[in-house]
Parts: sequence; C-alpha cells; structure tokens
Amino acid sequence: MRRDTGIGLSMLALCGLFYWQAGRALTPPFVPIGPAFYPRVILILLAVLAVWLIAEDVFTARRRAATPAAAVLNYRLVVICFIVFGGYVVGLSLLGYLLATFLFVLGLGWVMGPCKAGDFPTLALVAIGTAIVTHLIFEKYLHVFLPSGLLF
Amino acid sequence: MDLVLNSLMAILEPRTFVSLSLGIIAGLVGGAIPGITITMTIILTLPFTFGMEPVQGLATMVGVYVGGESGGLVSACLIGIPGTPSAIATTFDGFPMARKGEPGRAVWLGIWSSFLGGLIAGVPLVIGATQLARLAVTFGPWEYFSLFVLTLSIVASLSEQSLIKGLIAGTFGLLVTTIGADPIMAVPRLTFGWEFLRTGFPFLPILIGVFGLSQIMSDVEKAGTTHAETRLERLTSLRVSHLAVIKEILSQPVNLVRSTLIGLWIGILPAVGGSAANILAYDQAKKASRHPERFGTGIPDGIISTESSNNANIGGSLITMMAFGIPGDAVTAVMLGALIIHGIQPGPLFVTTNAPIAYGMFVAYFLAHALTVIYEWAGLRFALRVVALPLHILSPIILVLCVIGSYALNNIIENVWTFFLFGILGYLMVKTGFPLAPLILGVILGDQIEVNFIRAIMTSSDWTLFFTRPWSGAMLALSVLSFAYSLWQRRAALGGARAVPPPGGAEAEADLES
Repeated sequence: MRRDTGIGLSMLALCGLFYWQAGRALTPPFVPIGPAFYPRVILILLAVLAVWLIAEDVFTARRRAATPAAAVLNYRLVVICFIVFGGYVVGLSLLGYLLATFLFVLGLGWVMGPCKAGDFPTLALVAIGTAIVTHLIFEKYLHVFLPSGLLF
Repeated sequence: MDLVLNSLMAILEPRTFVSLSLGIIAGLVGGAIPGITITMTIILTLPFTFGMEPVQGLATMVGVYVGGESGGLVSACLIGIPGTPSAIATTFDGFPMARKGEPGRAVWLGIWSSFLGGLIAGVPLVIGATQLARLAVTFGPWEYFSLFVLTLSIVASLSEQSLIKGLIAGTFGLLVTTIGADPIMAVPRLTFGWEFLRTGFPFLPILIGVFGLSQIMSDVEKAGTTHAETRLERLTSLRVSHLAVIKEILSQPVNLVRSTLIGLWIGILPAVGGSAANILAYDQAKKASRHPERFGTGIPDGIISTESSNNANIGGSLITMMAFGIPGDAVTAVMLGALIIHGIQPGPLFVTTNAPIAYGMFVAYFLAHALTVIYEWAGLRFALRVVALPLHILSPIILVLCVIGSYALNNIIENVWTFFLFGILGYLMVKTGFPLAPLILGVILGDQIEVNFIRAIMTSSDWTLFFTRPWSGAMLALSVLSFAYSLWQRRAALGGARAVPPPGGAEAEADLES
C-alpha cells in the first residue's frame, strides 16, 4: 500500500469515528440546526477529499516523475527528541518548572549535541541559566505562574 | 492641524515617549521569540498600562503592536520559525535567503518593507477610516462566509506539491475548530468525554506546535549532515547597504502597494488578522509574478509582499477598532479591553469624542514605525548572537519558550500537551508533503466560517443567497477561479515535466512502484 493511500484510508476511518461522535452531541430543542450539522458537513468534505487523495495516488503513481534520492536523515534522533520532550511535559507536572526545565535543557542538549564529556559543564550552565532566567522573568516579573511540581 | 501637533507633543512628552519605546522593544523581543506572539506580549503588557494615562497606555500598546510585527520577521528569516503568525509567509523566502548566506539582506528587506507598508497604510488610517470601513460593515454572514472560504481556498492553492493536500490540510484545520462547544448554543461536541476539549483546542499552542516543534524536528533530523552544519556558519553578518535594500523594495512598487492594500483590507475586516494578510499577499505576489517558480527559494519579492502587508494590517485593524469598536484581530481586541478599562467607550463616536486620544494613537503609529527601524538597527547584533548559537543549545531554549508560550495562555498543562500533539502532527505533515499554512488558516478562520455559515442559514433558508448576493457570489466565484487557476497551473507544469523524460527512464519508474 502506498503512503498517500494509507493516509487517505486513515482519514476515512477518522471521519467515520468523528461522524459517529458528532451525532452524540445533544441537540437543543427549538434550534433548526443542531451542533452536529456543521462538523458533519466538514467531515463529509474531508472524506470526499480523502477519496480524491487515494484516487490520485492510485491512478497517478505510474505517471509520476522520479524524485531525487533523499538525503540520509537522522530519524532516530527525532524520535528520541520527541520522547525527551514528552518526558519534559510529564516532568513539568511532577517536578515543577525549574527542575524539569533544567533536566530537559541538559538532556536534549546532550542528546542533540556532540555528546562529549567536555561539553557537559557548558550544557549544565545553559540548563541552569535557562531555567532560572526564564523563571525569574516570567514568574517574578511578568507574573506568569509556571507549573509547580512536587518539589518546587 | 493643531490636534496633530498637540498629539505629537503629548507623545513626545518623556514619560509617554519612554513607554512607547519600551512597548516597541517589548514587541520586538516578544515578536522575535518563537512562541511569544504579539497577542501574548500585549496581554503581558496590559497590566503595566493600567496605571498610565489613556494616551500613554494606548501608545505603549501601539508600540508593542508595531514592534511585534517587525520582530516576528527576525526569527522567521534567521531561524525559519515565524515569531508571530503574521510572519508565517516571511519564512517562505526569508529563511532560504538567510540560508543562502544573505541573512542581513533578508532581515532588512523585511524591516524596510514593514516600515514602508506601515507608513503607506497610515494614510488611510488617518484620513479614510470611515470610507474604507463602510463596505465591510455592510457585509452580512453570507459575505463573511464567502470571504473566509475565498481566503482559505487561495491559501490551499499555495500548496506546491499537491492541491488536494492543501485542501485536506485546510479542511482538517476547520475540523479541529469544531471540537469543543459549538459557537451558537455552546453545546459540547466531538470531545470524546474529555473535559479539556469542552472549550476546544486553543489556537496558540496549535500554531506554536505546528510551526515551532515541527521546524525544530526538521532541523534535528539533519543533525550531523553538511546541510545542517552550514546553516549557521553562513549567518555571519547582518550588514547591508540600506540604500540598496530600499532601492530594491522601491523597484517593486506594484508588489509593495498591492501587498500593502491587501494587508490594509484584511486588517479592516473583523477577525481576519495579519496571519491571513501575509499569506494572501504572498500568494498574490506569486501569482502576479513573471517568475512564480522562484518563490520559496529566497527572493526579495516574497519578503516585500509579506512584510509590507502585515504592517499595513495594523493600520487596517486600527481603522476597524477606532471607527466601529470592532477588533480587527486578537491584538486590537486586547486594546479595546484597555480602552474600556480606561473608561473610554469604543465605537463610531470614539474619534470625535476622544480626539486627543485618537490622534495620539495616529501619531504613535507613525512614530513607532520610525523608532522600530532604529531599535532594530541597534539590536540586531543581539539577534544574530542568539541565532548563531549551536543547534543543541538553541533548540532546547526555543522549546522551553514555546512551552511557556503555550502554558501561559491560561496556565494549564493541557495546552502544553496540545502543543506537543500538534507538533508531532505538523512534523508528520511536513514529512508527507502536506502544507502547514492551510491547516493554520483553517484553525484561524474555522469558528468564523461556522458562525457565519450557521447565521446565514438561520437568517434565511434560501441557500442561493450565498451565490446571488453580489459580494458573496463574487467571492465564491473567485474561490472557484482560484482552484481552477491552480489546477491549470499544475497541469501546465505536469505537461512541461512530461516533455522532459526523467533521468533513469523506465528504471526510475520501476523504482517508484516499489
């Protein structure tokens, strides 16, 4: 199965799920158009477009010109970065802004950087600086109350 | 004339001048930092203005607005992430130009275009407010619906690779806005039982996630490759010949004036802000260009169109706000709130009954544009230092600011999850060839499209009104024409591609099948 066909089929499944879910919204009496009407119009439009995408993918595959070979990309690092970021979001609630931000900046910098022991002090300083400076500016000066966790 | 001179003296009074300057600097910094938009900056500035005189407070806010619009282009050009939604299209050509080793030219083309676009738009702001806004207020829900559809259709046609993918992205953006309470009866829908979704996904975390996180991850995947390493090496200097840059902008008078007028007009229309203006202006510049295929490769035409339009959008938004008391966008909505806090009733009588304040805002608008250029000239070296940081140092800091920007909207961690979720979605969209701009525009316009669509149907069951009302019909016809033109362009391009056999011939085709 080609990629766009897969995306189209996933979208059709999503449209079906949302269409069913839209019908569960309560319709107030005396209202000519219920809350499900507009989402269903959009979902039908999206489903039609998904079918178009599948059809285009199936019928035009043979006509497509060759694409140049893609550069070798570091997807493994992307996945790791997403995981680290997900951990940061969880950490914000558990550890609080200061500690979670320090660990996140240190961790992501380490993962993305050259990973040499000599870089650790610089990264640690950047992590401490980022956590404290942003905390001071936003929490103390701009009165944006950043997440507090179990420790801070 | 006396009123203008008195207002000028009031703005030049030290306390007001310092407030205006601080507002500009706050706007520049807030606009330049991805995730801290002008709306957020002006919200953060609002408490500081409570204790000020009305003219001083509003001048500060005008400063944030003007500074923010210009600040957004700095990060758009230098790191490829729009600092504000109104700099989205600036990344299309500004970032490639900076990557090609001309960051100074990219940034200063934007700054001077902002300055010129803002000044040109200032003229109708002062003398033609009522006349220009008259047409917009005659619009009914049919016209607004058709206008939003036209805007969305034009943006969907921006998609380079596939029209269908642009349409899907825009429609998916509309679907996102249907999650949560419906705007007519506030009945929750599509929430799947999640309490957080009862109010729907907030726009700002979606924007920051789709553009911020996906851009950073796109850079991360290139870590270690030559391409990524050269990215910052070439950003060595922002020095340019200002005369040459201004000449370059003035050599495109049609592009400059057209984009300014688009920005002005979009600004006048309620609820359609600079984010739509810059994309629309870019699209029009591309379609009118003799070399549309070069757009997106780092040419000045794209930067001039987007940056002149988004600053002109300020003038338009202020026209609507001052003449009708209707917010042109989120920023002017906050400014309207500030007016009310100061005991001033916004509306058609505002300019006549509060002439010193209104003219003070006009003067602040012009002065802010000039001061913005000066402050950017003085502060760009700092911007370069920030951008020249290694990716593994810069990316975590940007992400932290993006998290704060998402969280601070209403201090809930769910906003950060929204940012994360849409960041993953944005990255996947980039990797599968779906354009991001239609998705964002769909999210921006979704509520307004629904409200006007439902209002139109509830006002009259005659659906033909969408087509028979002159302005509505004309805009829907333009939407169809936009699609047709886009399809024709693609067919023409496909025909051209077929005429040239692909390298590798049958072998290449066989590779595609596998």
